[in-house]
Amino acid sequence: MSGSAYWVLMAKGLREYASLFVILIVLKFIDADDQHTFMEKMRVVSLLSVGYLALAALTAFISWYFKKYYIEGGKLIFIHGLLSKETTSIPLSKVQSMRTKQGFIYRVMEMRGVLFDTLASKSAEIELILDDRDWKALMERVEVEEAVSGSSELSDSSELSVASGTSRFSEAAEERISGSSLSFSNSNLIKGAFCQNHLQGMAVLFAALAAVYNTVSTVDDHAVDHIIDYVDTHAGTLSLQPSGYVVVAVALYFFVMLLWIGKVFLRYANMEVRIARGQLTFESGLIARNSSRFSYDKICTVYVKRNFLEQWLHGSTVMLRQALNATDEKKGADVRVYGSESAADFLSWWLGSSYGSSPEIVSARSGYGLMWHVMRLDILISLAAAVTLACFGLYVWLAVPAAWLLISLAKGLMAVRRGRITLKEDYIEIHNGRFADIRNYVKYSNVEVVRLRSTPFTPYSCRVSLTLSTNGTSFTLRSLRVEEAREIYELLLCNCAGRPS
Amino acid sequence: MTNRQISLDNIDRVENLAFAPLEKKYLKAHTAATALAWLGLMLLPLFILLADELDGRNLIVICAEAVLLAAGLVNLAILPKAYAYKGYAVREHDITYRSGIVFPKTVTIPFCKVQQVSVRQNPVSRMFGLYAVDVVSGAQTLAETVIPGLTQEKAEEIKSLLIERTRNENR
Repeated sequence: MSGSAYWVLMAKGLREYASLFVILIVLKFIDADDQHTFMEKMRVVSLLSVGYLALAALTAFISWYFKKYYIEGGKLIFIHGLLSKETTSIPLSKVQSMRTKQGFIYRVMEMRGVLFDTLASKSAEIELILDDRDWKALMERVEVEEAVSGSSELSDSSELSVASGTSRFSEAAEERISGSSLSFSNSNLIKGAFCQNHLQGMAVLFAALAAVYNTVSTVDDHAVDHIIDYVDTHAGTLSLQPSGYVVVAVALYFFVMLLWIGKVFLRYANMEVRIARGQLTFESGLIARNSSRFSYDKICTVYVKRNFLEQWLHGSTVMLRQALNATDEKKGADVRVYGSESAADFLSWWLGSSYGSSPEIVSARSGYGLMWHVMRLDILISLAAAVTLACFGLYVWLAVPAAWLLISLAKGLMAVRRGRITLKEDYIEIHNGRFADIRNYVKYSNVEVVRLRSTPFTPYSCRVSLTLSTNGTSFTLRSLRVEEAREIYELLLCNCAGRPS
Repeated sequence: MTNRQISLDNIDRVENLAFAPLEKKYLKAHTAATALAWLGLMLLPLFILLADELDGRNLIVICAEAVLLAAGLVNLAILPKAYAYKGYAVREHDITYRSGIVFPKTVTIPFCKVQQVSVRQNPVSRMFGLYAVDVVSGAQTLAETVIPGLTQEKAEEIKSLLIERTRNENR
């Protein structure tokens, strides 16, 4: 890797140890038992700073000096390790996805981090830090390898087409090769983020607080006690009137909503999607640009969600869910597009331009058993809350569990209304969701396993659950009529192997 | 685009299949394994006796043991029915395994989706000379289906059949 890569690694090292360094300094200053003078404290801080810089520089040097890569015989060969040298060899034609990241420091140094995934990868992912010249050279080599393996695949498939008297496969191949580009406006992105469940902002806030707590508690066992004591000492000045709590709650709500929208905007701003040669390249990010390039075959489900806000504002959330391997599970590599009406573009690319006219084979709807399944936890919580409130004589407050139960009932009824599976000639469409309308599109070839499950009520209700699992997603359709579920079960098995019955 | 009609009349549907039962010894093995599991659970409440400051600990332990014993006996009583329901069936293009007593379930794995087949034993099944065939697919859930209670010959036969069919289907 070039010399500039060293400075990127150095910046990464500084960032990695920054939280530890800051916490140590803060603790040094707020520790009431510390009797040192200000100058003595400053000397300790200087020593800590030198140690911090030396540690980051050493880590960066080891990472930079002991990492080598080269391309030989259509394989990317990567040598790394300080004490025990490890050589990893990845055939370029087997690269299922290639992600790049360009954080702020990468952009300053005009470098980019490149990460590889193969479908069967269970090892730690490999990051190469390359300049633009090396990146373009690597991309060219990968594309040449894909073209070589693609042409052999096409010649095999055309033989098959002739043999079966159909040009279906070659048409699909042509569709895959023809390229197009989609771009998404940032205003649509903000609209899409606003339309999501606003409690997600709360999840971002708690995740940030949990990360801070985790870092603080790993530095020193007594660090949390010091902070609690400090807050306790100054809490008297922060006393609020009861109405003040309402204002704080409203402010907190807006804060978490802004936090969520900000997170989405930073991650997905200036989004560009390029579709060509059976490969989809997705690039986004306001400050740090991240890209993900993966093959047509790696997608196992296209998820399209429209809640009532999205329907009102004419938007949707589209997610391209990929077959999972070890690194994907960690990184969440699914592509998400918020706020745009782009579902048809992705579906045309993935299922073929005629996907909308694919004839329906069979369909089955969920019954009221699904409603009980959706409500089961809410019923238990409401009952427990009602009993507790009644025991304490707080009868007025019984309205709260009653309201909770009513919302749950609405949720259950909506789930029943939406729950449906439709088998079409070319794909499977699974409707689910409660208040939001969610449609999942799955190809037959992605179905791995099918399961039919009865319940103790099946002899009376004649309803069963059907589960179908792909290599990245799993769907359970509850409370389907036995006859319909069995027919779908057989059709799924017949079609998933791509054989005529 | 093609629009071939799919007829289910010519298919041996899963509900009409004759499921091959598991070995009779499997009921004994399963009973032994279940009894051992419940005995292990019944050992846990005994640790309450070590809490000297807890009043009425003897009563708590007796109650807990009684509940666990009753649950264990119910579990052992339904094992023969569960055993009778368990079975597997092989069709031209897939293998089906049926199990469950409260929630009966049927899982089918197409041969073309099988990624790995292995034969295994645990200490209890080894005592009874039984083997299990482990069928692994690439599914996110239900990735592993285990057909237990087989003799070594039967397990090896199923394994060979699955490997051969998988190879043929993927050609």
